[in-house]
Amino acid sequence: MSWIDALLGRSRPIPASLDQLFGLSTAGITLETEFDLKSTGAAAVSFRPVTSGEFSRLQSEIDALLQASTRDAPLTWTTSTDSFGYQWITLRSDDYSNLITTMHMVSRELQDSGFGEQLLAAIVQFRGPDSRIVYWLYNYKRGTFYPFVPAGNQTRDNALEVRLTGVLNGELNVEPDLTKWYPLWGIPL
Amino acid sequence: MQRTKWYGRDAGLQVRMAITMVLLTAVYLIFSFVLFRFTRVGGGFWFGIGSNRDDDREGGNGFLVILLVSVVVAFVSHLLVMALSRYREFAADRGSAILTGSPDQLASALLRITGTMERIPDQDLRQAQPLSALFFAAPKKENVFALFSDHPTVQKRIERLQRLGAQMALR
Repeated sequence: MSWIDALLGRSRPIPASLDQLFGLSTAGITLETEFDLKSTGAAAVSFRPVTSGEFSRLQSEIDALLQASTRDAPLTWTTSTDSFGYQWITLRSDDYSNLITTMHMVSRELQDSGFGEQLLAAIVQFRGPDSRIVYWLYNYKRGTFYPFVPAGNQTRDNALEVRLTGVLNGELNVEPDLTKWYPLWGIPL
Repeated sequence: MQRTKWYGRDAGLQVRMAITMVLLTAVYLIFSFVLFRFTRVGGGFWFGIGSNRDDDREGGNGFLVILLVSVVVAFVSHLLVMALSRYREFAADRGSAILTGSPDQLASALLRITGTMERIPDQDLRQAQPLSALFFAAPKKENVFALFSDHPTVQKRIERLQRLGAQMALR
């Protein structure tokens, strides 16, 4: 990135680095201390549908990968399809950092298998003190994070969402454009 | 009965900042005036005296130097005035937050007034993404033009208020 780009605030449209997902490990600690948000142990990766043949091959590859990783800490996973036809790999583990690492691994596997273009978003679920659910989404295309707090009846708690990003600006690459904070309704988590 | 000053502790600071701004603007205006005068070739008021003869060539170099210095000083003082204006806005936010004791509510009010929250969409990502060709455009970061703005961005103001809230919570 040349100095002109830095001056004008432009960043090259390079493919977003998956390694940014690891930022969620430290961000989880900040979220807990600042907002008393605790991970529910659930996370997911969603991607645009692939053909059934490809999908079953992918599934067995990921199965094998996850089998290897769960030797250290217990982790369960399921696959599903949502109403839009997008596919989901849902991960559950009590070990938060294992959850994040596995999510990264699955994303990596999808990308390496040539499905990088189909990746939609990675989601991590948290629960607040008043048992409200908070999701942090990672948009693979833009390489940015943003919060999503459903408030029942297809509405969101926008005030809380903006407040949540205030403390995390250094740790995560938060999406600066609020018009891109698209929610995901009906997440299978 | 406790008597509290109505203007608060920061009043002296506000007065001093206002004076500084006036002085800086005065410096800026003086140098802009000098600049203006020098661009009127040969017709400038100050240098009309005794430069009707061929000494103009030598005097020309002096003109150029002072011209350049004026440009630089005018530019720098402009930036400083802008920076001070932004600082004042942050200070005003901070003052209000301390007075009300609730920076969180101030942040919410700020979001509501600027219509920030309304920009957050309700449309599902799975519907939006395939349609938007501009989705892949890299997000615009803050650039050098922020130096020239006399207002801090809403995002920065919220950030500061949140930091203040965290500090206040610790006490």
